[in-house]
Amino acid sequence: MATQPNKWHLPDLGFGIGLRTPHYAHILEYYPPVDWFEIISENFIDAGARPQYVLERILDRYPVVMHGVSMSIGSADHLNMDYLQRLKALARIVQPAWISDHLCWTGVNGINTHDLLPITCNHSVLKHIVERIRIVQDVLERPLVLENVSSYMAFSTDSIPEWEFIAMMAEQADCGILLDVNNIYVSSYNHGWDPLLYIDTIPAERICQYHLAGYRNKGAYILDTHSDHVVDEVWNLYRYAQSRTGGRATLLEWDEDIPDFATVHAEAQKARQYCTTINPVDASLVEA
Amino acid sequence: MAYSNRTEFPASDFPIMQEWMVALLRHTGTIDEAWQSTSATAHISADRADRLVKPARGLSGRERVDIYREMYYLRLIDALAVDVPLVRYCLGEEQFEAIAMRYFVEHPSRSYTLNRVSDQFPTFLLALTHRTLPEALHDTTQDDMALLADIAHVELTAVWAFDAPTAESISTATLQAIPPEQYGNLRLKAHPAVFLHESKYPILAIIDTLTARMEREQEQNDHTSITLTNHDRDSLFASLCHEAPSYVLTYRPEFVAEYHAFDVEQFVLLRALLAGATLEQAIGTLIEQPAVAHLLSEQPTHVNHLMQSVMTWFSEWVALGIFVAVEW
Repeated sequence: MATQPNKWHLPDLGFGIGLRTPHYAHILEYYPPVDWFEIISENFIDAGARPQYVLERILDRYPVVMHGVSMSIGSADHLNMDYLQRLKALARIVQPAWISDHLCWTGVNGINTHDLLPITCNHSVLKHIVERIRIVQDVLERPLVLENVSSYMAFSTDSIPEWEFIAMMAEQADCGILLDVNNIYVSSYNHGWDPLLYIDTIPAERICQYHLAGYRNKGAYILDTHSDHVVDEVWNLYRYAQSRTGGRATLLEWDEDIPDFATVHAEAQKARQYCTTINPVDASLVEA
Repeated sequence: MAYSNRTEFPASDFPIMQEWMVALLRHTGTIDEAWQSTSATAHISADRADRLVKPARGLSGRERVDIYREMYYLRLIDALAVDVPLVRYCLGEEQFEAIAMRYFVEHPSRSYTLNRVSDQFPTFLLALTHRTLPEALHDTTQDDMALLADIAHVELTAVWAFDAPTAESISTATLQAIPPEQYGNLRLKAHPAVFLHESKYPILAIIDTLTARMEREQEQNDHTSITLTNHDRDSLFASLCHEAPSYVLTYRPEFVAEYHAFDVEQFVLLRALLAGATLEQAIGTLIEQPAVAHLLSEQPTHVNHLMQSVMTWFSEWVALGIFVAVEW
């Protein structure tokens, strides 16, 4: 695979795992050969002694990237500058290769729903979000990397396809993209999108990282639960995406019904195999 | 797929759409009730909302919004259950969910972290002792609710202590370096992981009993989450719930929060110190405490014994590490 560097030459960290509490003891006892860890920023912004201790030990041995869930970049509320300053303070400790969050909103009028709610994709919202990304990048003094979220509803006010919206947002705000391949699959299933068109439209040089996860199929829709193994269709989409970009850091998320560390680690290692066996994509596997 | 610039919803209307969406998420009724509620229609009428959210894969717009609604309270209630497992155990799943939902209706999260969503829960439970309880709690008495508020607060002091930042405690050597004539002027700053609790019940004994019982039952049920039946709770509370004031210090020396039982004199002294009083002022507060004042009026020489106790407690607290700064 020919590697095409991302715009900022952010490193290809390899194949990582989301750092989760049930695995702390195992990691600190065995220091398994994981390429890197991703932390949920909010779990460590006001960390007490135990999370802080774990983080310090992890930082001694592994690269760590910060991934947030509460920036609410699409909210109509003002940006939470206190939160951003705390995020920046954490970044001074972690020294992450990059900081990411989600292209979504989490609440309004000061209320946090703690959900990744879908934006409506139109030019007014695009302008609003681009302005906010620029402010965040000024505060953090680094490019922000934003992830596409899974969604279960769409609006008649959408005037731009999500994949075009993301491409325009990234170019106008000069930010990075965390491409969650599972989320593309989930949203494509839920909305009837073409996942290959989605991937093809995202500017490859702005993709800094991939996310992979398992979901729960509820029949009429797919719920992004991070509760299972990655399905073949998503692996195939991942392989296709990597074939466009070359090596990009990849992370496996497992947040519900979390199995033992070995199971999660083995699942993350599958990504390595898919990256080294780039074959033409079987289109039947990626039909949503 | 059609992407249009419909004028019915100007593109700049997204703040209104967000307020409407949050109103739907927070509504505790069915999706149809939420859709037509005043809190939602204040932003977007039900008819317009039906045209705003697109149907797909056989799901109506309302059903698609309902996917988010199903997760909203579930996520918050799960976070609360992690923080106050004994309250959940005592109430049972159905009643805990009913009361937690009412709590989150009144106290939605306003923090960037789920770690703070439970903070107002003890106060909320206590306030319920003066209000009509939710229908699901018709078997719960006001006294039960007061005890549950106490249990919740003690459980949360452990959560707060766990989440508190690390800080360097002062040592006995630091204290010994202070000239004795300055002891009266000492002001101490508490470690951020220190919390006090005053209860009219023997709260630590109650918590120990409930914890042991809950863990034993979970062990027997293959670690699945279990709760008390109303009958079990009533009989358990009746056996535990005699009035016997107790005082608790919660502190996290390293990684695990610990409860320490205090007597009233220790509690009064430490509470005064943590509130910013000098040692002399704190001792003054202690002497005014009714039980101490009564004892001293009958046995004036007891003051010497009391001062010895104060110095012993003080040394124990410093050794425990609950102070991070001292000034005089």
